[in-house]
Amino acid sequence: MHRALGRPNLWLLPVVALIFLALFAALFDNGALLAPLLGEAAGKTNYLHEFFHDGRHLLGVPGH
Amino acid sequence: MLRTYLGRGVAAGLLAGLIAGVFAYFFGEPHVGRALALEGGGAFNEVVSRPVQKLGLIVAVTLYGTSVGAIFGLVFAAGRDRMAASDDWGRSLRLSAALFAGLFFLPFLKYPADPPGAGDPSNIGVRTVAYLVTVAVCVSAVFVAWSVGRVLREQGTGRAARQAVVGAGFVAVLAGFFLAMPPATNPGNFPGDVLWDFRISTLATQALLWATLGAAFGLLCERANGRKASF
Repeated sequence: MHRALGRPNLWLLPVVALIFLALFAALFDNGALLAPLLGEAAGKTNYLHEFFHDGRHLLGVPGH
Repeated sequence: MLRTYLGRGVAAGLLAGLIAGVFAYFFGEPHVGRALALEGGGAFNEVVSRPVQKLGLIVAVTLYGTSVGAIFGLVFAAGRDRMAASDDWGRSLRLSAALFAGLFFLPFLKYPADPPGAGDPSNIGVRTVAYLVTVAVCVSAVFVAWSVGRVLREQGTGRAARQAVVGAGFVAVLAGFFLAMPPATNPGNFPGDVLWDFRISTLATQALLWATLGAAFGLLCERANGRKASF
């Protein structure tokens, strides 16, 4: 990567973090991301899992 | 240039995700519906209704496409000067084929996608870790093979010998790895027609997404390069 970067691109860090956060939310989250908002209920309601449910199956991620 | 390629990757990925998401809505969703009907609906968490889940499918695939598009743009920026293809169109198609293989297709050969009800809820954690390890190893294997091929090319090894040696090594390493990993879930007596209609639709969704991403990114680069893209 260094050849293409030239000088350190610190703005890349939040960008890469955001990319992986988006992938985690879409493919793997089971309540952790909404726990700060919903508390204990986040795991039980599991909104992101349920909303992205069909997409997770059809993108090939392991499920139930 | 890094920012430019990142922007093109996000744009191409957004488009690819939308197109693949709409495709999955029409050609994959019916098989998810058949699988859910087999489950009987009893085990189903009803916090999100079925129509909203179908909308969520398109959102999920679009979010996935945009994210992998961003990764695509960064990898393209980093590897562009090392690729043998003579133009950005060729580089873009090759990179999308490599990422499709490493991030989806090779892991799919070991752990094919399961529709609702065909997986085993008791070991979902172990299967998720095994899947992520497989994705990491497959994508690494693809890029190591690509790099070894480049080194051999620069050393003057002939094309046939180079590709045969790298190809054989690649197959041997992945075969050993697949053998060492735990087996995929046994679908038991889950109906094979539903299972395979579903699996083919996941394969088609992913193939469409990566093909669109590679083509859209390549076209954006060619347009910016001031050359007329050949259709």
